[in-house]
Amino acid sequence: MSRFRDNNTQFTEANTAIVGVSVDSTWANKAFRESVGADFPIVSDWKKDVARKYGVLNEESGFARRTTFVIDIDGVVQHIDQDRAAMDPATAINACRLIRKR
Amino acid sequence: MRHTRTAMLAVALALSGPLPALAQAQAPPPSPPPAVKIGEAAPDFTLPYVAAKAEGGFETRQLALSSFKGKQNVVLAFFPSAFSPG
Repeated sequence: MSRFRDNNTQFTEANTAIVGVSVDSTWANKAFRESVGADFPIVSDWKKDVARKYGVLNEESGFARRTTFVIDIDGVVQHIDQDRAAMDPATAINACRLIRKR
Repeated sequence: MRHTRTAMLAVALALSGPLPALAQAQAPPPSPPPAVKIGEAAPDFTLPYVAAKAEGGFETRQLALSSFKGKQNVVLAFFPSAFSPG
């Protein structure tokens, strides 16, 4: 999440909102958000329904796999990064810039 | 010269990120790709988060993915758990 925090300006310039998601409680995510100084919401998928629906829930561990979905202004998925690739937001930023140009 | 090489090796190691053994331990087991694919509509959801109130204190708010439609792109970033690195 800290990498997204560091690049929030670039996302904002590409008219993009960041939304973090984990299966933790709202209060755990609040504490986490404050600890990294993230200025975007981190929502709580405590029932794991959303992670399951997106197909990113690791049923064995009960946690979501690290996955970034870039969703355009019309609500269509334009780019996906998963696991190690999702640690670096650079490709997601590029995808957002491409959306902006269309 | 020897010191220089040692230093260069240290820098290279530092730049290469976590040690392979550590990275391997953190890597999730192989699993299928996401159910939602590129070009598909992102399934809508409404999920809670705790936000600071302007007048002080905190409150639980609901965030709907659909609220961004027609306004902004969204980077939806799933991560394993709070206080996980990255």
